[in-house]
Amino acid sequence: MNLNDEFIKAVEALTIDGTFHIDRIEYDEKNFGNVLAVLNSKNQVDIRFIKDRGDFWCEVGQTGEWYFIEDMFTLIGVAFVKKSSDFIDFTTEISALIEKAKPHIFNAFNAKNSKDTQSKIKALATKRAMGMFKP
Amino acid sequence: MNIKIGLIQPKRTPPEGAGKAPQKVIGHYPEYVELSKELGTKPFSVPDKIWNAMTKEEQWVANQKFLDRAIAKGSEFNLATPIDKVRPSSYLQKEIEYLTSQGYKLSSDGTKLIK
Repeated sequence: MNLNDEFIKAVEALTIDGTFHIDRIEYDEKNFGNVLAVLNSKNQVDIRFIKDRGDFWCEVGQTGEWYFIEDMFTLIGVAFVKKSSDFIDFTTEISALIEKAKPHIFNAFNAKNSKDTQSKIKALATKRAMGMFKP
Repeated sequence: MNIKIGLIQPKRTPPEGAGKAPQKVIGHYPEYVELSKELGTKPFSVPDKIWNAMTKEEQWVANQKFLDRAIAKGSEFNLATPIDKVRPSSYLQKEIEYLTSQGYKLSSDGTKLIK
């Protein structure tokens, strides 16, 4: 199976009922084998999976603003510890978690809550950055 | 390390000081590729097969060489990823830490590392 096929299978939990659809899967052979895969939903919430220089992670986004899925999970009380050391396994693992948590994620990003959610996630991100780059 | 954290977003316009010091771009994928294209700079790049045949140590040596060459030319490093969106333990974090250890500081608008 090539990367496209493997990825499509890995996100089946999100796409099988039509909640999300795959917008694009890009593999950049010249740049470290980086990967960008984006999924859109009708609920104005997007998901993207990134592989960057061998590291990989997932982000949730709205209108072009992207946030680490770990921060989203923290906000809605979903326990998550990254176990997979393989991009496709990680994608499968995260897709299953997002599928379970999607009512909370969509609620967090609905018209009523989105501004507050983004503000809270940004606060988490700022706190983490302060820990990473201590003066 | 002299880094001020805030809710900052890199600008997509020509950076301050453009045309003076040579410009380099660092950041997470895909933003660093996009910003490099916009600014017409060549980012650090290694093909998949070569990168994945290297050990982590060799990867960092190659990465550091890219930074050292740019530092020697007096380059400024444009951040394609805001400081508050840097992944912990990523090469980007390591790059920023290395550059600050070499005397670079975050610019007042938070978009680049400058001396």
